[in-house]
Amino acid sequence: MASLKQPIVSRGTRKKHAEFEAEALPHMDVLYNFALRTAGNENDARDLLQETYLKAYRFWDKYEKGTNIRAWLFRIMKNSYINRYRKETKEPDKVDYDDIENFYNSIRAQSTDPNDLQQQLYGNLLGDEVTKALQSLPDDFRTVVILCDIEGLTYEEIAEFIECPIGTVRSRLHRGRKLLQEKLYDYARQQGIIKDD
Amino acid sequence: MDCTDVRQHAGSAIDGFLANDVEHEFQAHLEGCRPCREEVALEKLSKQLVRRYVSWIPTPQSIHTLVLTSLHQEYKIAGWMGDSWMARVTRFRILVPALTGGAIAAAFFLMVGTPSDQSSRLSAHTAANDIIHQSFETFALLKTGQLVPAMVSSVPESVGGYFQRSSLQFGVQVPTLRGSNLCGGSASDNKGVQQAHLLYKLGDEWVYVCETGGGDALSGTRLSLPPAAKTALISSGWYTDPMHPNCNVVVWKKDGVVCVAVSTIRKERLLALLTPPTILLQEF
Repeated sequence: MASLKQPIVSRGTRKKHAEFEAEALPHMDVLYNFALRTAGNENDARDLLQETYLKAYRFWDKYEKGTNIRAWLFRIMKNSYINRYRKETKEPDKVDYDDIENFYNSIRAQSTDPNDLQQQLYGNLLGDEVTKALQSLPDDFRTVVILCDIEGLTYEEIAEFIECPIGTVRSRLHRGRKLLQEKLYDYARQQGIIKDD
Repeated sequence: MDCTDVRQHAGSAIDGFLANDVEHEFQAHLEGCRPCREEVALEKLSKQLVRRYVSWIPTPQSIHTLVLTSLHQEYKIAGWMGDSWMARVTRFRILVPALTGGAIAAAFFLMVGTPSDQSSRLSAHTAANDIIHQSFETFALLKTGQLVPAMVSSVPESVGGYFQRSSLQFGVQVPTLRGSNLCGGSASDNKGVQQAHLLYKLGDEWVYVCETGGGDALSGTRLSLPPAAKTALISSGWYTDPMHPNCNVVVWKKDGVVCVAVSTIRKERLLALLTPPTILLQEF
C-alpha cells in the first residue's frame, strides 16, 4: 500500500500563498458586504465569501497580475452566487418598465411632493424594509445599486466588475433606484406612513 | 439640455460624477422643469434611503477567521495531494461530466492518472458491482492523488451545499468525524447509479466514505453487497468486513442510505469515529 506523504511546501508554494493573501484578503470587506446584501443573511454570506476565496485560490494561476483584482474576485463571487442559487431561481425576474414609469406618473398625479415623501419615509421606514426591498430587486439592478450606493464604487469600476459598458451601469442604476422607490412607496402606503388621497 | 438628457444624467448628478459644465446645464434645466426636478428628487431619495438604512459593515472577525482557516486547510490539502494536482483539476475540470460513464463507480472524481491495480488485490470482493470492492478501488486512487474530489472544502456546510446542488435523489449525510479534517466530496451518477463520496484526513490517515441510496445497494441488481453484509445491515444496521488485513471497512445503513467507510486506521477507532455519539450527521 502506498504510504502517505506529509505535506511538503516548497518555497514557490509559500510565496504563492503569501502573494495570494496579500493581494486578495484586503478586499474581504467589499466582498462580504456584497455577499451579505445579495444573499440576504449572514450564514449564506459567510458561505459565499468562503467559497469565493477558495475558488480564487484554486484559480490563482489564472489571475492576470496587474489587472483589477477586486473585479476579478467580485466576478468569482457573482458566479458562485448564480451557481449556488440557480436551482431556486426558476426564471429571471421580469420588470415591466412601463409600470415603473406609471408609478412616477401616479405620484405626480397625487401631487406628492418628493420633499414631503422624503420626510414621511425618513424615520418612519424600518431598516429591514429597505433591506428587503433591495433584496427583492432583480439581480442585475440590485448588483449595481449595492456597488454604487453601499460600496461607493465609481461607474467605471462597476462597469469593470459587471463587464458591461458604463451606459448599461447608468441605465440599470436609474431603473434599480426607481424600482426600489416603488417598492418602498408601496410599503409605506400599506403601513399608513403615506396616506392615500 | 432637454428632459431626456436630464433623466439620462440624473444618476451621475446624484452620485457626483457630472462634469462641471454639464452639471451647470443640468441644474439650470431642473430649476425650470418641475417634473424633472421631482423625478431626480425621487431617485436621490432612493439612494439616501439605501445609504441611511443599509449600512456597510466590516467582515465579522469570526467570518474573517473562518475564511483564513479554510484557506490554510486548502493549502494543506494541496500539499498532501502534491503541488500540481490543483492546477490539473482546474485544467481538466471540464472532463468531469465525461467520466460519468467510466468503469468505476466514483466516476465524478476527477481522474488524473492511470488506476493502480494494487487496490484490487486488497479487496476480497471482486464483483464489479460490489460496493465494497468499488470503495476499495476508489480509496486507493484517492490516497495516491489519482482521484481528487470535485468539491474541495474543509467545511461540512460547503460540501453539503455542493451535494444539495447535485442531482442526487437521496439525502447525503456528511459525517463530522471528531479530530479529522474534511477534504471534500463528489457526486457521481453512473448510468443511474447515484453515489456520494466523501474524503477525510485524520492525522496521517485517510477515511473515505461512499454513500448510496439503500434501494440500489440492497436490491443487488445494479450494485451489490456480500450476503453477510446484507444480513447484518438488515438485522443491526452495521457490518464490518473481515477480509482486508491492511484496510478496514465499515458498512452501515441509516435513513435509507447505505454508507461504506474505508480507512487504514484501526477498526475499533474507525468504528468509534463512525458510531454515535461521536458521529454528528448533517443531512443535505
